[in-house]
Amino acid sequence: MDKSYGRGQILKVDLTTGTVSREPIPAGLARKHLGGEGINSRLLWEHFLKVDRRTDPTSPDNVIIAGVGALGATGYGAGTKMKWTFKSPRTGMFGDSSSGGTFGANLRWAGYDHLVVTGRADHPVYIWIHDDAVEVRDARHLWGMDVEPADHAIKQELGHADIETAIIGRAGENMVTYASLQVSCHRGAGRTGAGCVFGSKNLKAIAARGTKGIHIHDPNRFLEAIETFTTAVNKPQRVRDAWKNVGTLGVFGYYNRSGLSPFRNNQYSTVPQDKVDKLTSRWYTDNLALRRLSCSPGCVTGCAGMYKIKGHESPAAPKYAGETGYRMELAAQIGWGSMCDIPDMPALAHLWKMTCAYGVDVIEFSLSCSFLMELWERGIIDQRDTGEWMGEPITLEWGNYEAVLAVLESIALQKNALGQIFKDGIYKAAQRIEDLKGVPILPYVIYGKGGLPFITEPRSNPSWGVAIAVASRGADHLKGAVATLERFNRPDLSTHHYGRPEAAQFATPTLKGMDCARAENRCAVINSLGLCSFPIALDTVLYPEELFAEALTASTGVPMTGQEFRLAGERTVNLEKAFNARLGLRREDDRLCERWLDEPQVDGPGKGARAKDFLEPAKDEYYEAHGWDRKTSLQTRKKLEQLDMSDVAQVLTRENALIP
Amino acid sequence: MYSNRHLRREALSTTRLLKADAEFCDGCRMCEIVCSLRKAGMVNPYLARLRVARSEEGIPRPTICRHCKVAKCQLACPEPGAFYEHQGTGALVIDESKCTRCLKCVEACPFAAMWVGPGGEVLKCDLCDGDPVCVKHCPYTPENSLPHLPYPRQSCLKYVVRRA
Repeated sequence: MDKSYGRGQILKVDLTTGTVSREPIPAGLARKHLGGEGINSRLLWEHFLKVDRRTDPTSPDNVIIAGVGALGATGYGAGTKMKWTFKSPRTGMFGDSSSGGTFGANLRWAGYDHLVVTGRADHPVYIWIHDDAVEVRDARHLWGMDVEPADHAIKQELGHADIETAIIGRAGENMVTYASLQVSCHRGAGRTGAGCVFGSKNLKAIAARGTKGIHIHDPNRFLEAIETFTTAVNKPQRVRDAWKNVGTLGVFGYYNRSGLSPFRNNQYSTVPQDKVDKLTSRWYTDNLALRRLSCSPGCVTGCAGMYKIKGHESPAAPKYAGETGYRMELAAQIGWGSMCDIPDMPALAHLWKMTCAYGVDVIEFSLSCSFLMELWERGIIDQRDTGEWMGEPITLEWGNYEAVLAVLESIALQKNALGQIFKDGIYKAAQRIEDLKGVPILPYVIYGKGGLPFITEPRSNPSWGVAIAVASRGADHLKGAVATLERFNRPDLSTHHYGRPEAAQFATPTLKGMDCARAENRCAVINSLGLCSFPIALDTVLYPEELFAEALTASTGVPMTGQEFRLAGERTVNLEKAFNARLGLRREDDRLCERWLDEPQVDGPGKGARAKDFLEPAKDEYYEAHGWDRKTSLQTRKKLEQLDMSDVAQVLTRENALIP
Repeated sequence: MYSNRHLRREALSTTRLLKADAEFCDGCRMCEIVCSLRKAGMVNPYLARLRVARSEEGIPRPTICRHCKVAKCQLACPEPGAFYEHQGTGALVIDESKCTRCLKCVEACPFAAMWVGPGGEVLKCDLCDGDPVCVKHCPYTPENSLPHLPYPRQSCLKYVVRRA
């Protein structure tokens, strides 16, 4: 009985046959991979040993795995972040996406830490998890609904107000490859196309209500661990002043001062001051903020919120007067506000609301818009093209938020030719437009690994540059970049880890690859525990692994050490790397777009910087820090054996993807 | 509007022992979780002695026992002495040994601040012997103040000692 303390089961649902099964988490697996992202990645790895690894991600053979880490939903102070893991239909490689929301907590309270969905239903269905009762129900009446109405309909149908859902919008139904999965309606698992996998499985939603709770081995010791941790979370001034008020919106001003806010499709790196003033978190709290909220249970930071548009705040506001909704994140502020040059927060708030309703990844979608706008500025596309593609001659000038809405509808609802051009992501869209136009336009696309776009300025920020080039799920910040020391200037932590402060020095290449490798291991630990990276991933001194180990020991009764946690994080990074290596990804796939590589930054403190100057040496350093091969980027047998992953090494050897 | 309501609330709060201010509630549910940890030894909001529900618009609505001076639950109880005032804290608590689980008190509570556990037991706040664990863990406190928002010095869950 002791084994089940602090842990749930793995729930498996096969949509083809409609069968449901449960199995306990093997103790060895929990120790080696902790939970959350770690166990998810392991389950994905095992699934793709049974089915062909080259299988089409939209086929029934793909799998989508939900997982909440062992400290998620326990009130441990850093919320409940869950992971959705699958083979990505967007990039064709390892795919995962995290989300907040109360759904993950209900999954755990119902007794399941992981949910594995395979197969494909022959008509739209949804999964209803009510403690021990799990059923696959008809969702034909929900198909075609936006996220919020579908959520409402499910709650009414099942008769509980406290049901939480993970739902796809119409973009997911139409299998747009970067469709998001909307968890508890407003927390999107956006990146790499979880919504598309749902759509391909004819799965509209998963609804959960958990009343069984989580057994804790030593409640008093666990309460003490919570108190220690929450005190630490509330300690930094930056948490109290910025995170608690405005969450991710708060870093925009800092980014802009540091020349890290890409402007007009990243042709520039700082936003003109008059526009900055209308995009800051201060403008938001003064004009739109209604109240703050926690996105998920057990978060003492509470960086989410609600807004209300009164109608006189900005030129766009009268149109949306009276609208309330959940607050946008930094992705909207940079993605539309500065990349598309829309310095109008009410418009951004409305765009955010609509992308949540249709279920689209905001990052990829907003960069698709800024890309189109740059093509418009350069005269490569004009009204004839938009007329042909969208049915009406829409102008795509900078700042035209109505055009952005039109593009959103084209893509999410797959209404017209433009929607089809952008269905498979920005990189393929650029190739398609290039074929249509016969002029080179790939230099204007912003992307990193996997052709996945990302909203940042990595040229003068080498640690983010290398992180975006190597991240296992394609260009992204949550796999490592957020825990690197350079961007938030932490020489103290650099000295702590490396004995010298250079890893935190801005715009220099020293130690950046090594720091990225360390940060990846760190982020894997946080994501495996079901906690939120934002307030805690960076500061390894204030929130050391030992702190989490103590809490997990108290809750599960299985003694664990901080060192074991660090190893578990490294194992997860290696497993994701191995998954990609099996698919044939090598060093040359760890790349950045031409704009970042070759074009020097034109303004800001990092003026003149370009990624070409640091990327290759930083990658060398990164592979070496992970103990991987420099030339091919492949893992070595020695490293995998050190991590007790000989079985993975065996598979890789068979497929010629390991350095002996 | 804001200030009047708050003045009224402040005046009322001095006659009560524990109150939750929905205006400032984040909906983080820390209170529910730590309450269930303390009272039931596990994480399960459905065993907590207070609840945070959400309105249809998504606004958190905390519900907590007010330890009323004239308590409808106590009046509804047919068992003499099943409800009594705790000597140290003045909290209105249930004597488990005398409770017959008729649930009349739960029906009578005008604030719907009493619940029924899976075994039919009544879940009611008892102020944790004067050190309410929910108040301790409520993140919305003046120490973690919010300079940008109205009423930065307010907190959500408050433990107010009854006037002598």
